[in-house]
Amino acid sequence: MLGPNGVGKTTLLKTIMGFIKPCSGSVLLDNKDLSGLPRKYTARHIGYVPQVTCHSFSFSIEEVVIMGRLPHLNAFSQPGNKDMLIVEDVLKKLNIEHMRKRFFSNLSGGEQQIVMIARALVQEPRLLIMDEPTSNLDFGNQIRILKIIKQLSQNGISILFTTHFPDQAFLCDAKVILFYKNTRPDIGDAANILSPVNLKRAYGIDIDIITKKNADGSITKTCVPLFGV
Amino acid sequence: MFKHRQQSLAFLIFFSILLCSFLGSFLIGSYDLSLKDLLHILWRKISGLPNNWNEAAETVIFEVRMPRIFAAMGIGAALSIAGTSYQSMFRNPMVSPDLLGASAGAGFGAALGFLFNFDMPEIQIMAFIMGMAAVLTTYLICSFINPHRESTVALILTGIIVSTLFQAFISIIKYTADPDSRLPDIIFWLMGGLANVTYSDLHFFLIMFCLGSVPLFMMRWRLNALMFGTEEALSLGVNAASLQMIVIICATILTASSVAIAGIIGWIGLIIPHLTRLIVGADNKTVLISSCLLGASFLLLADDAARSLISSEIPISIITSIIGAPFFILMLYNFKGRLL
Repeated sequence: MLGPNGVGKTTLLKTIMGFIKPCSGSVLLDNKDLSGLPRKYTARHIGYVPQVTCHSFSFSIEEVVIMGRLPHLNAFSQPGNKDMLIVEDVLKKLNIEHMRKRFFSNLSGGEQQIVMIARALVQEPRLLIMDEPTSNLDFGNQIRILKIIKQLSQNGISILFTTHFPDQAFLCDAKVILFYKNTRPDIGDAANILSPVNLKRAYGIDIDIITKKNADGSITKTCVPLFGV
Repeated sequence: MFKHRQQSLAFLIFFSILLCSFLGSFLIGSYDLSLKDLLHILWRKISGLPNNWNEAAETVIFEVRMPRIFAAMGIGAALSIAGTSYQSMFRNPMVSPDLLGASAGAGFGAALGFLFNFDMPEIQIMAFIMGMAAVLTTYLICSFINPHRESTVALILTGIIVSTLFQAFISIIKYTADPDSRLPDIIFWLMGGLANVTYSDLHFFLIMFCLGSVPLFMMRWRLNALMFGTEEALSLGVNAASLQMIVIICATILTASSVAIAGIIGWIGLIIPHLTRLIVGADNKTVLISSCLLGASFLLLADDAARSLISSEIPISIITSIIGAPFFILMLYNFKGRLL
């Protein structure tokens, strides 16, 4: 999901997650209205990766990640061996098993973001919703998170995320929803939707799209803002 | 399950501390009692053997010191559980169990009881009911001004307002109370103390303690979800609103019943959960049980000090604050790396 600040990207995500009620219309999961489904049920299908905020309690990474098992357990039970194995598996997949004992609050922003993704994956969802997963991250970490996103989607998980960088849509070879201030959003493949004209409508600045041929013959597209003089 | 051994070790240490304070507390007081006699008499009581060689010692143990010791442990545990749950729910380590007005309300109920010259059991019931009523007031006002409850800040602010209001009511009662008879009673009661706790108070308290603490214990792991905020809790499949409601009801039962039998005892509900977290980490699976054990030991020792330091009784809130403040500073200093 791309679009200018204040256009309602996060609001839409929150509506899909059921944090806020839609003004009109409804959100459907398997053709059932989400507002009528129990939270536990939706949490087994939809994982949510929030923007990283600071926490004033010192949880270890394991303790944070295992909370993703909440939707699979009843109100009075506690995680058991089976849940731990799932955690183990996800930590390995994301390459963070070596820092499982470290405190979440002591991690860098990029590491915290990966832990949040791990927690959502432990829910074993079909759909992952991420609110600006690369904001507040340095350039290297942005690309690292993007690689994880691409890998997960190749493994069959649908991912919906918001971002401020159109380049990320090209890198992930993703479908795009491009929001405009006053008109309906455009939906389609990045290659079709992200044209200089549409980007100007969305962001109000002149943007050129450059195509670069890589050594292995693949093509990378990137947006270049025209700065003028 | 993770660090299973560490967790068991922590429980074992906390339990040993509690057991030592429990036995030690019987030995403190003007009647001299040796540990050997104490264990002997306790053993005879438990095993049902007759004991007639030292009636005085038996009276001191079972009639004088026992109810007080159990009250101190129970109230210490109750306030710590309530504080731990509130700090998790409000995502704020600076929150204490009286946040939503339970203590101020109960204090008002008791002061009203003293003003009208009620008997002690009636005063306790008044205190308990007014404590519950104050929190209900907070809750209703909050759902009126902030029906969707996006954050808990509105609840905290409303709690502060309601607390202040009930404090003012207490002041009105103090102002109008007879300064020779009623006023000292009210003031001493508000400062907290366990000197007059009886077995029948304990029965009432035990029921309330179970009502309030069992649900929290059973859902202690789930409380962790609230520490990440309402939205994240929802996304993890936790019905945040109803869990918050359960926490408020349970914590209020615990706090109001504590205040009802022992007056207002500050600090425990704030520092014990905090201290526990510094030692065992933030996971409520461990924290809730640990804080319960540590809180019981802490109030027991504080009460020992209250009744033995000088010849007359010291109000227990003074002790908890005087021990609590430097102790807390020391803890913060030792664990500064893991703070906030």
